[in-house]
Amino acid sequence: MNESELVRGCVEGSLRFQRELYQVFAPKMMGVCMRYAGNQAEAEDMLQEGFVTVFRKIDTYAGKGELGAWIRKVMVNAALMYLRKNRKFQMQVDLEEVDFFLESDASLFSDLAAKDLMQMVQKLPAGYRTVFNLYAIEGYNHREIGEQLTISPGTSKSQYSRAREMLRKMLLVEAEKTKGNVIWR
Amino acid sequence: MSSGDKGHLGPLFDDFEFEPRAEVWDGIAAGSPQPGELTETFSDFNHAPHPKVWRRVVHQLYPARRSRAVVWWSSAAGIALLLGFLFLWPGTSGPAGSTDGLLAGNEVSPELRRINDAEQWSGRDLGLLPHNQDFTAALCAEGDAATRLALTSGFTFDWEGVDFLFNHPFELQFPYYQNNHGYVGPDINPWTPDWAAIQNNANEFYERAMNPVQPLESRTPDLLAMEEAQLNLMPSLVEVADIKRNRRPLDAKLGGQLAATNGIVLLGAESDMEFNQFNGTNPLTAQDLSGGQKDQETYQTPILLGFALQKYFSEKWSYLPGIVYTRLNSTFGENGQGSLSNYTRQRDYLGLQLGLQRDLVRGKKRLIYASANLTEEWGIRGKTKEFNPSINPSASINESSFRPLNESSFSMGIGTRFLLGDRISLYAEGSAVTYGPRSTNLFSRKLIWPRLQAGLNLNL
Repeated sequence: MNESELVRGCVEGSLRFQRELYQVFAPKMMGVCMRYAGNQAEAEDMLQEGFVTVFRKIDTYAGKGELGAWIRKVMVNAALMYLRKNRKFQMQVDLEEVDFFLESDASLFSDLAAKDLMQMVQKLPAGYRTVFNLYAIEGYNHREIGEQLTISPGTSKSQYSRAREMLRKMLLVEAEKTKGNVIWR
Repeated sequence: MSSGDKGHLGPLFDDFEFEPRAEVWDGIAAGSPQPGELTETFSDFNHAPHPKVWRRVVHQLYPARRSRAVVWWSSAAGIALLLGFLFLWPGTSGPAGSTDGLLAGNEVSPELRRINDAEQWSGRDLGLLPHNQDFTAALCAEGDAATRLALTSGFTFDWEGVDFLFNHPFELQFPYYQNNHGYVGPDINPWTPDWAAIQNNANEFYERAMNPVQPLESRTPDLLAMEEAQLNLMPSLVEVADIKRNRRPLDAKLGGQLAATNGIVLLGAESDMEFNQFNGTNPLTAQDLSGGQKDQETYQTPILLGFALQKYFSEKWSYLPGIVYTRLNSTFGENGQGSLSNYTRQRDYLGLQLGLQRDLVRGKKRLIYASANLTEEWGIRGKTKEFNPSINPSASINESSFRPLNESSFSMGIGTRFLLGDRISLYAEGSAVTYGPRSTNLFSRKLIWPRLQAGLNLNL
């Protein structure tokens, strides 16, 4: 079954096609939601909301671009709405530290598998986690993140910077454990 | 400030240039978002959600949906209620009605049985067989004695990688008198029925059939040989071949749905069927005990109950094999000279149905479809009650059991289904039905009948 048939079936409200679409995209979208959620239960709630929105709005998918990319956008929005609705994050405006990165420090995460990085990301506070996801993975710039989350670009940058700092510290702790020395900070 | 004005350090930076990152232009050219530093890392990250998430999605989309367990129990309760209804509902037999349940058995001792119906089918008359071959079954519609004919036909078909061998058993036995042309008498010619002999020996046929103890010495050697040949035609049971290894499990992944169809045929299958007067030139149709007068049988609305499995093999096409139970009631009276009896007849059929459906218009809650159905029904039980209004209009003076003849039918129609929830839907279907050659040949039944059918579908 190709994507156009899937979309058409879902537009017509066929449960069979909806289930098929869900089965195709759910694992990947669950991975997306898990990056925004603090735990699996939250991720499943986001996934549920996201797919309900997908099926209700599938008729607005005009066929431009990949279906997976469209679903992913809907899913990210659903995750953000979930966090907002549940007041999961509070953006702290920090006027002191605004770090600019002219180059991305890709070496920080280069040796990490997605699963390991996911666990660390889930430990971040909701605000840091959200901005980190939107910038480092979804690829939005800080201005767009600011528009999405109704914060200033500066706050977005600050949140991202703090997220990276926390992750760096987590990585260092892991690295020390691996070496056999535990340094408590 | 004009463009020519500069601060005191202005000239110092006249030639200063700083190369922006490539991503800046990428972002301008392609629009956001652009891949982030970890986009690639998470590109293949998948995590299977718990199955309950899908159920919650469906429940949120279709709030009326119930859990599968609730539907199962509801379905079972509904079917049990329907069967109970059928058992308890007073029968419609007789002019004054009857308090017997529709499915209430009523065995009548053989000596009280009477033959009031005999039917015959000839393949050669229908042009289905070459001139030198023929098969005709004469069936006495009453009693146990000599009322069976053995016939086997079969075919194989493949469904979902499973071979099905299907034998079609007409298990009707003539243990006392048996030939393949349905007539009695010592002059038996298998390929040229002697209809005069049939007429002349009709009473003997009746007597033989009703007499459970048929002396062997009254049978001719030819007759005995033919009986033995007929015994070899005894049908085997329906068999299912071994499941092939590549058969997929029959579950929701096939896209199949189990649907319990509970419907009432609102219109159709009603007819005034004439029992042709028995004479020497027409095939034997109904043995008229009143002396060969015309009778008319009027059918009431059939009730059917069935299960079907729906399998989509393309986006809009699906096939639906299923089983169906049909209850058919009818009344007929004898207008013969000196006869005042009225009869009610009840027939139960169990059938196999194969349907083909094409979805025409599909909405969120409604579906309009076209369908074609082929049904093969086996008569499993029949009961006839005789009433004499002049004696007692409410009590039957005679009751007898018989096995209804098998029916086949083909219908095409348009239907609509309205989804009440995720699993329950109402349906209504209008169709044109045509019956098999046996019935059409026997009686003056119209070739095509209209049918309007409505009912409830439960998707399990």
